[in-house]
Amino acid sequence: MDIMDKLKQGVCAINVVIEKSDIPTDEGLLASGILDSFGLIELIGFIESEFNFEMEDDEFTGDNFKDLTAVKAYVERKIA
Amino acid sequence: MSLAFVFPGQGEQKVGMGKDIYDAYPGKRFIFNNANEILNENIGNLCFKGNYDDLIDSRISGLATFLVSSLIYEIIKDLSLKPSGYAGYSLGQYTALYASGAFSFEQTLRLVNSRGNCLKKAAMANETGMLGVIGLSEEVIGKIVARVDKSYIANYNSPGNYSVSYDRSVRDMLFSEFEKENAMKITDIPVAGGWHSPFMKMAANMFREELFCQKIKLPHENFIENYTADQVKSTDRLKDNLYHHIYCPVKWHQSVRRLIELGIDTFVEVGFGNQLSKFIKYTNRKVKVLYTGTVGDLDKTIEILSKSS
Repeated sequence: MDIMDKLKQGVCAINVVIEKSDIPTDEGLLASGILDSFGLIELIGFIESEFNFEMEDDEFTGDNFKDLTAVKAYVERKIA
Repeated sequence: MSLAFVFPGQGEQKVGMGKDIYDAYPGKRFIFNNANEILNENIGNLCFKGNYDDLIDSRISGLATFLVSSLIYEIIKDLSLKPSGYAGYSLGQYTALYASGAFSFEQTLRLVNSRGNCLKKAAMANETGMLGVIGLSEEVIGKIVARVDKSYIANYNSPGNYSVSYDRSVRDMLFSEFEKENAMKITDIPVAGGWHSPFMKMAANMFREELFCQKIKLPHENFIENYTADQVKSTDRLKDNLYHHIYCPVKWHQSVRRLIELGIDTFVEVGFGNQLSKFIKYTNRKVKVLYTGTVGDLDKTIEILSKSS
């Protein structure tokens, strides 16, 4: 399973009413309502445990978390 | 489980806040009745049936926030828990000081009332407001407020989540600067002025005399206050910090970290909403948060706390 698949799986586990195939990769996670702010924390927790790293304080930025494409690029950088 | 009670500040008020809890726990209504009697006005009505414009008023929103937290605190108190730490966010510090034994109920109520009046007067003297920004680092926000005149970081909520106080003349410029830097969310905070910034120095000076003449006790040793994000060792220092706190930033995530350093692993947010719980989780994802803003959340929290005590 690639990184985007895993991220979508994480989103589905948090937002149980959304289908994996309906999750957009280029729309704002908070702005589009895919996740609320508690959901986004859960996603961060999911990423940390799934990819085995801890997010640094200065990494919680729009550049890294605005949408799933940004999150994927962030994870790739962290695990590289 | 090492518990801390944390108390929210203004900014999340809604008409009807706390009404479901007030109705479900008739034995605790005395909190509102006492407040109505002390201040000779019906705060309960403003909270439960008033209009939203009244609740934006800094004095009324402060009283409503304090009273709903106090109502919930009275209910939780019956569990006879022994919290190992206390903190409050902005105005919530007064509720935390009441809960941790520094102020009496009447004293807190009167202080919250006066503080609200002072803020209101200062807010009328300046055209100021606040923006909430999510998804920019402290460094980036710091550079923006250094560049944009008459803007200040007011609240350090959690890493990547800050509030900025501004003069109305620079609000749009700030908003577009945050957008340009790729902020995830920018919101106008529903408050009447630019709290916790030099715009409020006048309010602090107006409040100073009443604050400094209070007879107060030292709070619980692990009461962490927002101005220094640390414990307070004397009542004089506490008063001084509360004075500065009116026009200086709320160091919330630093306060949360200090409580965690002191061994806290579970935070109970005592009051309306769950904003502090979110800030805490963004600051540290390993600790547990429980919140109490609706009767459903409160009952769930009571069940968890009862099992663990």
